This record gives sequence, structure tokens and C-alpha cells, in this order.
Amino acid sequence: MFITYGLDTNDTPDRIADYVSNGAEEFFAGFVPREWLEKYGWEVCPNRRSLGGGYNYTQVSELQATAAEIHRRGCRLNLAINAQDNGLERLDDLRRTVETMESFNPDGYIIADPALMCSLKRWGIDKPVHLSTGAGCFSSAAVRFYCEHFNVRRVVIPRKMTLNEMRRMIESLADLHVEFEVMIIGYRCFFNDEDCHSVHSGCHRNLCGDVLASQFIATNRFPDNWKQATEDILSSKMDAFRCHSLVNDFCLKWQRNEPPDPVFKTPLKSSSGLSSCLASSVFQNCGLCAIRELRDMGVHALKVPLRGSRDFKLPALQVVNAVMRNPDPTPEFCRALIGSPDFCDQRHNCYYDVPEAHR
Amino acid sequence: MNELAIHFPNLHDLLQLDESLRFVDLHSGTPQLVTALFAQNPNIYDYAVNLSSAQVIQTIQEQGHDFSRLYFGQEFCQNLIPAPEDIEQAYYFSRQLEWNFTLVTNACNTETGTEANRQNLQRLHDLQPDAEVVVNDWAIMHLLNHDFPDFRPVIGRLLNKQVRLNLFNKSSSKLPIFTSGIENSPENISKAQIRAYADVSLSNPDYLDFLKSLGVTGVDFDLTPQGLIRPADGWGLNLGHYFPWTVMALARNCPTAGVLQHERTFIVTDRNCGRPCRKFNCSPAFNMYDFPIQQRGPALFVSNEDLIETCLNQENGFERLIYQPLIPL
Repeated sequence: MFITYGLDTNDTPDRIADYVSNGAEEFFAGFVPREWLEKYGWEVCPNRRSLGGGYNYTQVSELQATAAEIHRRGCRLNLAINAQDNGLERLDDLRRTVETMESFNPDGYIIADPALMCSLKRWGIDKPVHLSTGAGCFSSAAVRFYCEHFNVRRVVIPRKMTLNEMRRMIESLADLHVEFEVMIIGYRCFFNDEDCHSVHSGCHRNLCGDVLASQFIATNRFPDNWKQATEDILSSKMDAFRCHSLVNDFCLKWQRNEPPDPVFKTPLKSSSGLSSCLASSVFQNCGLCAIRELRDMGVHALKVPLRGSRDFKLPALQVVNAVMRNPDPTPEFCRALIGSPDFCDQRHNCYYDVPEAHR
Repeated sequence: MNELAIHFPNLHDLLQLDESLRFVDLHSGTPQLVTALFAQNPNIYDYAVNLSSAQVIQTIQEQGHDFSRLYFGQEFCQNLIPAPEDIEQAYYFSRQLEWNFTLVTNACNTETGTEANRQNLQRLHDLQPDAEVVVNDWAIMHLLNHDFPDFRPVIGRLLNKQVRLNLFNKSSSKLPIFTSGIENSPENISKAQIRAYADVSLSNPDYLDFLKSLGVTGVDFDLTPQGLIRPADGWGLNLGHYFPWTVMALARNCPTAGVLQHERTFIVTDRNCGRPCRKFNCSPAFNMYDFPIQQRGPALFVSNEDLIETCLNQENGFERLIYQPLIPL
């Protein structure tokens, strides 16, 4: 098992040694050329990091130097071109982008769109494909579909799977020579990667932000006779607003046995350790307690996809590395690394469901 | 348009066919009454949109189109895949009405979901080996290609990854353009982006050849304000559009399941889902939007009613309209 670590424009070549000494063995990054940006802006991005300058390299020289340093240290670099939809009119721009990427001698490409996989074949680019989470491989049959048609080396397993579901999928693919990678820490996204169809922009609160900022309301569904009831109610005009009216009867019946109010947070209990909100701002979502089982089932790579300043990214790399190096990382060991009992008690902070971590 | 289809996700909803198409004129009631019944709660937008969309369908029918195809099946959640017996009943239901039958399969299948779909495909194969199947997961395409090669696959709307600009289709709502480090004007970039969002992977000739080599006969898309750049030959595939709901996003975590098992709002667990979505719904209120947007189970929908008129007026714009009387979940 090894760590694959996300780089961004802040990651100059001199930082690579630091990351390697903290456990990173492989790196991944995105590249958006200046010409692309001037034409399409940040939002129409060749990869899934469309939020602005901090997330992608935009200068050939910078990524070239970083790639050279990575390879000089015997590590690997994969480049993400995992936008999910790539129309015909962008293909020439994409081809030029990929040809520039080829000059960095990447070890593989992280791709979501089968159309782009077809284009790479056409362009004679035979670097191994890493199936992005955006490829939506939730089952062995989906993986087999891609492997049958494209040069797949690795499957990035979607974030919204249970450990048992992953295990079954991996066991079913024992005859194929593919690697498996999972996201392990950082923002998990509310929606599935492959099925989030909204615009993501660095200047706007995005759709998942709107969801998380909203109050959730739970209500009974209307009964099957709702249309008949509606007609009756409409014909009763202002008589509706009386105690024994049809509309009142309908509303009372509809609201009877209402579902409980949605409450998604566990009350905070602990007064010791790092506060939940501070831990949350560093780690966002955390899958440390799942690493032992992921290793047992045959997952090869742990993805640390954070972007931002080194001071912000490094703690996440260090805790993942500490767990990965431990032959028996118990939930207690993982919790001690995070140092925030409140953060760990709130199950929605977990990347994956590990029931034994909450006993 | 030359075909009108209707989509039901399960047998219970299919059996409400007549009721779901019945138009009720809300204008016959006092505004306060209509507000009391249908406003202020995102969980019942579904019903209000049914009433207005049923009127649109009625108008389309008056122009000489009538339903001739049943879409049956679940797109969004493998816990809700119909049983093989339900597929059979729905199939015979469509035959009685002399409609064609299309089996709709779901996205995000794990090994469990894939196996459930395999059983349904087998049952349908026994009934009609060359039936049409909507594919929303490449796993299902793999099954079709290997085990059921006579079925006619249609690429479902969840395998078409077009960005849905439906949150920005009001004249007052500009596309968000992050201009940091960019010299070009936001207006120019906005125009290029809208064109890019209308230009989909399907237009890639290598991909199109690939899909045709898999036996694909049609494609379904959501209705979006930017529309589709479609060549004169229509890609050589039948194009279907869904009305009146566009899918903005889908998850496997589910706020409705989360009402009973809190963590399920955010993460996936192995515990059995009690299917609380059969009884109730849990949606964010979305006070920031002034048009119907509703989470239903694990998927998020936005009404596309305001796009239908333009869509219908496009000459040779599409071949099939797929009506969803209620959110199909």
C-alpha cells in the first residue's frame, strides 16, 4: 500500500522531498494551459478541479520542473484529465493540452470520460488509464467494461461505497491485473462525483454548499388520492378554512405520523482535545479507521487529495502515513492521531462507515 | 418529436397511471388555498409540478401525439430496483395498452445491484429478447453486451454527463465566472462556456462509433437551458428528453434514509435501508432559489417546465419526450 498525493500550483519542486519523507510515493496533479483559461475560464476545466488558480498548474515550466523532481526521486506522477464531458469543439484544445502533458512524461492519466479514452487511443497515446471516481465503477462489471475496451491500470473506487461492497468488488476482479485506489481524507462531496452535474466555480457557493447550508425538511408523501382531494378542496372555496373542512381533514391526515425532524449531528460531549470544528477544518472527512480493512482487502493506493498551503496539507499526509505504516492500526490509534474525540464521534465526519470505530 | 413516452419507477406508481395524468385546474381555487396546499414545502413541489405539467401533456396530446411507450424502472437507487415479477406485470400492462416497453435501469450498481438487474434483464429477455433497455451504468452495458446481445441499449441521462445549467436559466441569473488571473472579458468567457456546455461528448466521432459498436440505438438527455449542439444527422441516434424534471445530482448517501439512520445522510452503510422514501421525503428547503428544486431520496431535481415550449418548437430537435408524472423515485 502506498500514498498518492495531490499537488497544486503552490507545490514547487523543493517541496517534493518534504512530501516524500512524509510518506508520499506517488503524486497527481492537474494542468490547465493559459490559452485554455483565456478561452473557457476556470469553470470549463479539463479536470474536476475547476475552482481556480490554486488547484491546477498553469505554467509548463513549473509542472515540468516538479515532474522532473518527482521522477528524479524515483516517484510517479499521474495527471488528471477527468472532466466528465468533453465536446467535439474542445477536442483540439484537449489534444494540445495532452500533448503538452506528454512532455512531462507522466506515468498515467486519471480519466472519467470514455469519449476521451477513445480519443487518446486515436491520438496514439497508450499511457495507462486510471479510472477516476468520475468513471463511476461501483461493481466488477463496470470495471470489466472499461478494462475490455481501454488500457486500464487502476480503478479509483467511488467514495460512496461501503467497505464490504469494495471487498466484494475487488474479490470479483482477482483475475484482472488492476490496482485499486481509494480517497482517504479531505472533502468527500455530498453528491457522487460521477453524478454531480452542476457548475463548480471559485466565485460562487456551489450546489453542495447550498445543500449543506439549507434546512432539511421531512414530510409525509401525499396519499394516493391527493388529486381527488385537491379537486374537492378547490371546489369548497373559502369553506376550506374551517375545522371540519375537506382541506383541514386532508392536512390533518397528511400530517399525522410525520417523520421525525431530520437531525444530522451528534451532540458534542467531550471537553478535551482539539475542537471538532478545528479538526474538521484540517481533515474535513477522515477515513483513517478504514485503512486496516482497506489494506486487508487489497487496496493498493490511498489518495490524499487536499490542495492548498503546505502547512494545511502536511498534517493530513502525516496521519495517513502513520496509520498506513502501522501493522495493526486500531480505531483508538487513529483517534489519537486526530486528537479530537468530538470530531471522531460524529459519524458524518467519517469517510467510510467503520462500525467498530463507534462501539 | 414523434414519440411520447411515460415513465414510472415502480408498479405502485404505474397503477396510478390515469390519476397521474388527470389535470386539475388550480386556478379554480382561491390563491390562499392553493398556497396552503402546495407552497412553502419543497417535499410537495413534485405534486404541484404534476398539475402544471399534466396540462402541457394534455396540449401535446391535443396536437395529435399520444403515449406509445412505457418507460419502467428505477434510475437512482439500487434499493428500489423493481422485482422481476414487477417487470413482467409492467410489461404486460404496456402490451395491453399497445405501447412499446422500455426497461429503465439504475446508476451506481454495486455487486448486489448488478445481480438484481441481471435477474430483471433475464425476465425481460424471456418476454421480449429485443426489448429496449435504458442504461445508466456501464456495468449494465457490460451485461447487455455479454449476456443479452439482442436488447437495444439506450444511453440513459445519467451516463450523459452534460453540465446542467438549470440553476442559471433565469434572465437575472448570470453564470458564475471566476475571473482571477484571466484577461479575457467575463462576457466572452460566458459565451464560450455556454457553447461548451451545449457541446457534449457524444459529438466525439470516435466515441459515437464506440457506442454504435456496442449496439446503442438511442440517447436520453435531460432538458437544459443551454440545449445541445446536435449535428444534422442527429448522431444517427434517437434522442429522448425528460420532462418536467432535470436531474442535477445524485448520491448514494440519502437524507431521507438519514431521517431514520442519521449517518446515512452523509455516508453509505451496510445496514438495510427500510425504504422510508416510500412514506416520506426529506429535502433541503433551498430558500435561495425561486423555482422548484427538490431532493427526492438520494437525487436532486430541478423543474424544467420553463424549457419545454422552446424545446417543442425546435424543428427536428429530438425524437422522444419522456414524461415523468411525478419524480420517478
